[in-house]
Amino acid sequence: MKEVRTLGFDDSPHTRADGRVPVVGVHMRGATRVEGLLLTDVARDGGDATSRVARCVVESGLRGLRAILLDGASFGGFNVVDLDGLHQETGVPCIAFTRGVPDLDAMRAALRNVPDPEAKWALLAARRRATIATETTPITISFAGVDERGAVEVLAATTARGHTPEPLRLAHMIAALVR
Amino acid sequence: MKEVRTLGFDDSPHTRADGRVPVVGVHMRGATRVEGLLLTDVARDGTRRVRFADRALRALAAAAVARTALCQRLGDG
Repeated sequence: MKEVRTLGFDDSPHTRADGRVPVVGVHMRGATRVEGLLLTDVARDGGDATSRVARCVVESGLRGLRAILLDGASFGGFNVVDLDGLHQETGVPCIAFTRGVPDLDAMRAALRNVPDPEAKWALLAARRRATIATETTPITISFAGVDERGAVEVLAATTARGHTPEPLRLAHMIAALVR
Repeated sequence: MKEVRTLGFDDSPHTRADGRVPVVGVHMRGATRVEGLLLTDVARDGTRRVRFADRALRALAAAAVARTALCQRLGDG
């Protein structure tokens, strides 16, 4: 699989004082070519991450995307992304990437401190997950609109070194800058 | 020469209303690997950009010296 086009999203560092948190999208071809950048924002601990990211993708007018990659389960604290909803709204397969194995019990406990914990937990619990062993830290992915094998193929086609896909590594760096 | 490390700088679009203008630096290895990003700002139409460019050039020169030293060490080894 060559030249797969993807969009990788990550959020900026933030504090409790921030109302809205920037989210950066990096449009890439393969693992080396940056084609463009997108910028949106989400409410900290809010419930608009799915609609904000979906709107950002749709308004970009990008066609032929193989996948949308997300760094982690949620943006802006606990603004949880509905992976199936994002796939349905954009028509593009969605893959959430996490280093390590998420502690779901701890996440459920932490959700008690934010608005709408039950609905957010339902989104997290409904995700199809797979943990992939590496020679170092394992990675965990959840996916919608693509099966595990297809998701792993996308990761392989977008990773240059190490285990973090380039669109997410770059989105992380840029999001830290635009804060 | 493979994997040469460079810093590329460019400024943001700006208008006459802007007092300071962001300048972004991209640290790269070769032509494809982004290693990191830097952010600073300069006064619009000011003189500090000269000092900033001077600092950037000094940093690059220091990096080149370090690289040369490393190559020599590797060559000696």
